[in-house]
Amino acid sequence: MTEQQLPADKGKTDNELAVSALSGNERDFREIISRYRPRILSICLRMLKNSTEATEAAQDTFVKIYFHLRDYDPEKDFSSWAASIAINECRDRLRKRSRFSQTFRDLTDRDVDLTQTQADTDYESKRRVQLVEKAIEQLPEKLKEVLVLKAYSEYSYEEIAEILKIKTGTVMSRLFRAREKLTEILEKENLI
Amino acid sequence: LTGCDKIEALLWEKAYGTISEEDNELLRQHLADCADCRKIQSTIEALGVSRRADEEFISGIGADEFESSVMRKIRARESELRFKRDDKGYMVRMYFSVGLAAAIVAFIVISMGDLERFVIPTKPAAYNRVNAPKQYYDTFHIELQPGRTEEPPEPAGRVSMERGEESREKAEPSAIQPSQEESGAELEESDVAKLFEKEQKAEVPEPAPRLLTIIPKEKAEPEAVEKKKAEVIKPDMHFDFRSANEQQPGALTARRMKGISEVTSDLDVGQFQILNQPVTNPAPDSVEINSIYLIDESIPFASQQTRAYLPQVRVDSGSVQSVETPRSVLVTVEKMPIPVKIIPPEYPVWARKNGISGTVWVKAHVNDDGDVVEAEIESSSNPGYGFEEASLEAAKQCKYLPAEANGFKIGVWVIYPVNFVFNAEDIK
Repeated sequence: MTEQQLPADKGKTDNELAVSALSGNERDFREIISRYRPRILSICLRMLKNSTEATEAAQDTFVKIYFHLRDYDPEKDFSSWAASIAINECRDRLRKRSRFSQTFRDLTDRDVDLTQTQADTDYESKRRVQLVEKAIEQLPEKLKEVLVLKAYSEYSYEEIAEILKIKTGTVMSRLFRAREKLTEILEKENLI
Repeated sequence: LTGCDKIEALLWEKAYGTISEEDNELLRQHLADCADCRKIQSTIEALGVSRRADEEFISGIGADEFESSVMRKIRARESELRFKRDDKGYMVRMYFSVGLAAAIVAFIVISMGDLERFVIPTKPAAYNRVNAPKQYYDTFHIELQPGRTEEPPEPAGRVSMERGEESREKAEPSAIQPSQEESGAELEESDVAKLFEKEQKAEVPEPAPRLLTIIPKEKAEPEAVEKKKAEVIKPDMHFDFRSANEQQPGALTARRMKGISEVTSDLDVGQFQILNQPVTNPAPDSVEINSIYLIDESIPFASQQTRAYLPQVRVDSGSVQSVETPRSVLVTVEKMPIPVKIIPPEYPVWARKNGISGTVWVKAHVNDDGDVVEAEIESSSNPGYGFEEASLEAAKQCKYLPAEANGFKIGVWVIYPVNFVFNAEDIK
């Protein structure tokens, strides 16, 4: 998420918004949605891979945020708290999904979406994107979580540590391992 | 961070922000030499491409549409919660259902308690020696063996008891009746077996019925002994003796029994005798005995009866009738119930109209207060004319002085006939 996405007139911090939304201010909660929509969506999209399910998961994440605002500790970082809810939502869905067959996952691949949304990009670029996504898909869930939070949602090591309730050192080592594996896979595909 | 690690960190930094000019220069130099780090760079760049593709996709999702979807879901969830919380009808229904279920359960539980009233009381089980409270009774089971003619028989009876034999000699002299001196050599042998032996030698060549002499205390004269000995005790009869509380031997007094002194001698409590009150009135010459209950005066007789599950004594106009159960039981009832208020039954209308007579035997249980608590028809000569109902109706209104045994009031059954005699003159 970048600063440009934020409405210029909303000067409140995330924590202030959360407190205000808790007291029943719906406009401030809508502001929270608009601020975090891209970040939460990117987590869900990369974790779940399926765009429809990712959108659903992101919406459910905000519903959960709304009903659990009273559990939020205003002294902590709101974005990390929101991300941890999103990660948990994705974990739940992945667990449920694992009960279905592998076919389900293959059918709901996001390739189609890419073709539609990136009609203007060249073939090589599309292929690269697809290969990278497939490579990420092959990573173990723990490594994938760290990589997604770092590379797609741009959280710092400390924030990731808070989100996943692990140590910063663990975050770094997991990120290193994830990147290493990714490099391996991409090398095999002659992408790098 | 050193070497390639630092370069990797810088590469991540560069991909998602800006780095200083120095770091940029460092990167350029290192990447020129290090092939591994160039691969890392390519990977991170590839991730960047993928990220930008995602960003494009996400920006394609309408923000308003997304927002309104979220708010719609929130509204739905809220109304669902509000329904559960605020729907008073729902709560009323729930409480009503719970209350109803509890009431049904309570009803079932209470009904089960009531069921006991409908359980038909069964005849009490036979006295259980094993389960009997030891402190009240010691039961001795004696089985008499058939008599022998040639050789002196072994001591009559197989006595099964827990206590040792050594106490027999000790107690034997005391078991001998005071009338023993007068009754001569025959009675010196208080052992029943020897008594039998002599009888058999003298008269009966084949195994004869066992003999038992029962001497009421007052009539313990030699003649009485002579007269009353050699009464019928059949072989294989069972004698059940119950001693008094071992801890209170003094509680059992002045009741002695002769002829079975071998057994009594083994009881620590002293001498036993059949209760001196005659069982029937007038006193019979002999009685059959299957069981003898020794009375422990420390315990009310009535409760001893209950403990022993004695068959009910049947009484006819104040005197004991023979007990009809297969095993007759000797029970003393010193004083029979005396009727103080007799209600004559009404002559049934239907019987009167038809000129019918009849006799009904009523069996009534007179309790220790003298009230008739239970009445039933023993037999009826002319059933179906209402004699039974009338007799029972009247029987329940009668009042008695309660029966007494051993100084205690007890409940007994009395049997009496009610004669309905049709008299044609009555109608006139």
